[in-house]
Amino acid sequence: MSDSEAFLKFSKPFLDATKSVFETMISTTISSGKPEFRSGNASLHDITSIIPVSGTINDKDNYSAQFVISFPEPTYIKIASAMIMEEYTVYSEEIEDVGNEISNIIMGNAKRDLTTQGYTTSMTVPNMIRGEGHVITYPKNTKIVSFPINCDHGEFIIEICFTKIDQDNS
Amino acid sequence: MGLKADMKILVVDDMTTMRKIVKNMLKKMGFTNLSEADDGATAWPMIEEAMAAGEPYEFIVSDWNMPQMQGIDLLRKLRADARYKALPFLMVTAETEQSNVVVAVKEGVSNFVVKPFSEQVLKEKISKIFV
Repeated sequence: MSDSEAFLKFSKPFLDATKSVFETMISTTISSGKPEFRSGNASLHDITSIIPVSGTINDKDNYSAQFVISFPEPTYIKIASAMIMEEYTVYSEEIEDVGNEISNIIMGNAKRDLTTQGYTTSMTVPNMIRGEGHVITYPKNTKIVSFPINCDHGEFIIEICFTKIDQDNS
Repeated sequence: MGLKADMKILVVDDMTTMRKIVKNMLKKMGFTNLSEADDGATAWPMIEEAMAAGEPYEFIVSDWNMPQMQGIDLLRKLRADARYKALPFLMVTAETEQSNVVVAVKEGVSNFVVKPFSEQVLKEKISKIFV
């Protein structure tokens, strides 16, 4: 399997889980735009939840990866309002863990599908960053693919990075 | 035990978002007597105080994965106490922990719901407990 095929295979459970979470708990469908490789580590949006992931593939190769979901603040507030079923008009402490809850559920569901594909997954608790142009730390030597997503509440992005780790350098 | 709108319910979750979601879903179903705790260690004294006051909780909705005292440990603590052996307990779990459901059933959980879930799914899970 080529690196690109492995990347696509690894990404699909995250996209499927995102669709499921948004349809079930936010009552909106999502559509994904054209994925793009990106460089740089400045976030494209205002509020980001990050989950580093690592594990093995078919009990052989190690991998390092990261799931990132990043929202413009107005979109985040609308999504939080829809998910919690309370109206919010500004960012506040009351909605600060919405992004992490969304990424937690997505990761939990993706993990199930990754397991059936032969991946073990070890993940840490999600980390939330807020602020225009904030910096995201990505695992070393990974390709970053950005998936633009559109829903009734606006646009946001999902970024997935994934790389097999050379056993000699791990 | 049947479903009552004023049934005393405790929602236990360390994530503010999930507590709000579950509480608001329960409110939309018509439940009015709702309290919340941010993990099992906070929930336990609330359950004990309510019992001592003669107004015990009648239903617990708890997340599995929480700091200090996890949902499964709260369940074990309750089932080890004769006063709470039959207290209805709905476990909220992430897909990653679904294998643990077997453990929860063994420990006496009343039902479980896997995230993500809709209000309709939560309603069905609760209805099955209070048949």
